[in-house]
Amino acid sequence: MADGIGDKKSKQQSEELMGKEAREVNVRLVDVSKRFGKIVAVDSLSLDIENGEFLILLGPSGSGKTTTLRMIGGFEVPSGGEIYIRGKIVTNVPPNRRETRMVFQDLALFPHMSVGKNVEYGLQFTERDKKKRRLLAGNSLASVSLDGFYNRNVNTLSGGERQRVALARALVTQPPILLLDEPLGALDEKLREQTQVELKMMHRELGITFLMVTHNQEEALSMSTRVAVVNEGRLEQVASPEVLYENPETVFVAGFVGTAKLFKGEIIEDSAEKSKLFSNRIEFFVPSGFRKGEETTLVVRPERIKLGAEAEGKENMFEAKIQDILYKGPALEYGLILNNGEKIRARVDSKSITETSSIGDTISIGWDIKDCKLVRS
Amino acid sequence: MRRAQVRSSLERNGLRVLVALTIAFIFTPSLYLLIISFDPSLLPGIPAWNEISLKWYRELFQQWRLPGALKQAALDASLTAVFTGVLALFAGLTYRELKNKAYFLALLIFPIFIPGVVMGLSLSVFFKLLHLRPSLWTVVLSHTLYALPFATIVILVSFSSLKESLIEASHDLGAGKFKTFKDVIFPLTRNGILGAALFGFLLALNEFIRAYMVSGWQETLSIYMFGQMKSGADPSIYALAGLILSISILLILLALLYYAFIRKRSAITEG
Ligand SMILES: Nc1ncnc2c1ncn2[C@@H]1O[C@H](COP(=O)(O)OP(=O)(O)O)[C@@H](O)[C@H]1O
Ligand SMILES: [Mg+2]
Repeated sequence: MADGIGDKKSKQQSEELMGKEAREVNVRLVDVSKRFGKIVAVDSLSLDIENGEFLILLGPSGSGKTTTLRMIGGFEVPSGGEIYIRGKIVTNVPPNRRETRMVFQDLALFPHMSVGKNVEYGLQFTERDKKKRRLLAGNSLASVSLDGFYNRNVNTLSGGERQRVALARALVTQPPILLLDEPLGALDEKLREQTQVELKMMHRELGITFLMVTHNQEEALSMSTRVAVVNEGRLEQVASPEVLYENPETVFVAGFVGTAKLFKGEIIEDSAEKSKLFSNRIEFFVPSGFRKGEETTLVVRPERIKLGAEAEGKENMFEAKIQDILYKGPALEYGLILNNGEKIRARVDSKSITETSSIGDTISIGWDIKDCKLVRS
Repeated sequence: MRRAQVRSSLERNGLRVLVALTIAFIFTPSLYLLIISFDPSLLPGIPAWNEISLKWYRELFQQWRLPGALKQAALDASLTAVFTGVLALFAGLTYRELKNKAYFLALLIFPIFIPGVVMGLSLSVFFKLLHLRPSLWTVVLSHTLYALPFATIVILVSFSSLKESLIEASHDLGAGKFKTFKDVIFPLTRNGILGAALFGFLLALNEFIRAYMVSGWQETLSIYMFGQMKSGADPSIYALAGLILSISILLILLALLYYAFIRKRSAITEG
């Protein structure tokens, strides 16, 4: 009985979705949960994925990214909630009747079929004409620069080539939504960067929705149009890479996306233009927004910190001892220790440091209020 | 350092000897039987080179009941092979999708530990209850039950190397369950399925006690041989034993050759 009622309600929602919204929202997750026994892999996650965007699910290992992707692909049935694809409820629809295509983490190329047969496999269900199938497969292979690979054995290909066969196989049926689970995980550094660029270009050319999973925040920031950060099965924040980096809304996002120093403390003075935070025996000037007595966390990015002469006159200025210096090409990264024992990293332009400073020296370190952020603890 | 090396090489040689002895222990009795089956004397022993003869084999084939027993055995083994192959395949497919895999496996493997006499007796009683006359079919049924756990293990081993993601990829690309079985699961586990069937064949061919208890006037090779032995017949039963042994060894050799061939071919294609 309860099921029947639930069904009715979902149907109603689905009809509402069929309206103008349906054209813009490609995938909609409503309160989706997944439990494996006692483990809660995904915890009432709601998310709208828009038509044509490149959304990346970002989170540490075990945060439920793969499980979420697999529920959208139809490989796991949610324990609760509903999934809509292009306006229709698909929560219990098996994968072979969904419009999504998945590029699996291990690529899952059929080892007993040639490259061409792999690519053609998904076409047989929609395209009757054998010659046409072969032609489409050939075109798809050409689009990933694998012309002439039709008869090759998939087991003799390089990692990058296998990757592209998997892409061609998924894209040949022109799916409206492509799902990718850590597609760059197995590639070496160089190939990884190259594939990042290629995937991004492919997304622009095809104009379809890409939904990708990664635990690599740099990858997420550089490839996506939007990032959804998940932690312990829950959605932390969804935003464009810039917003995510500049305006993290949670401590987790602040710490996970990019590098940042977090000072956890209590607001001891608040006013319209600035407040004061007390954290571990140090007082900081911070943006306003929190009231006196509230617990918050201060976020400072390494590249917003100035050192030496440049630190003079900053609203927050301290003395710090240099612990280490890393040469990073155009930048120098300093490991510093404040008077209260807190460690902090600063990244400065190699040319901006005029006075010589070396490990063990004491140096001025500072930043303005506008260069830091407060997030809820 | 050196002492450790000396000791480890001693240990290694000791281990080798042990392995050799074990293998010898396993094969010597059967080999001895095979050898003495070529001795024409009435109390066969190891024949001298110039005495080797096929006398008992000739005699064996003149016994009028043998062709019938051979035919029954071949039918029994072939049918058992087909049934166990198919059933073990279903068991393997079911196992993949189960949550409580361990229970299923325990349930399936347990019959291995039921003594043959007990199983044979219970089957013969049970068949009587069902008014099933002893026949080739009761023998095949019993042998299928007997071989199924072994065949299932073979299938499960073969399935364990089948990556789940390949099956999911097939579904993802639009294939239903049957299509996925036909295009992905079967081609990748064909050898395991054949292996399971081969197990069924060999086990049925060589099984005696269950067949003895559920067969009527039907004789399989083992029953025939047992009858000959009991009636204190001439050494042609050594020839029969040699024959069964030879068929088994031949089949296993063929299977090994087939696998070696497949491995070589896939090694070539995998470069
Ligand atoms: N089939 C499964 N059975 C049991 N637990 C699972 C299963 N799949 C995932 N989990 C658990 O769910 C959690 C989330 O896993 P997953 O979605 O793979 O995370 P991620 O992809 O972010 O690393 C993990 O704790 C994992 O162990
Ligand atoms: Mg994962």
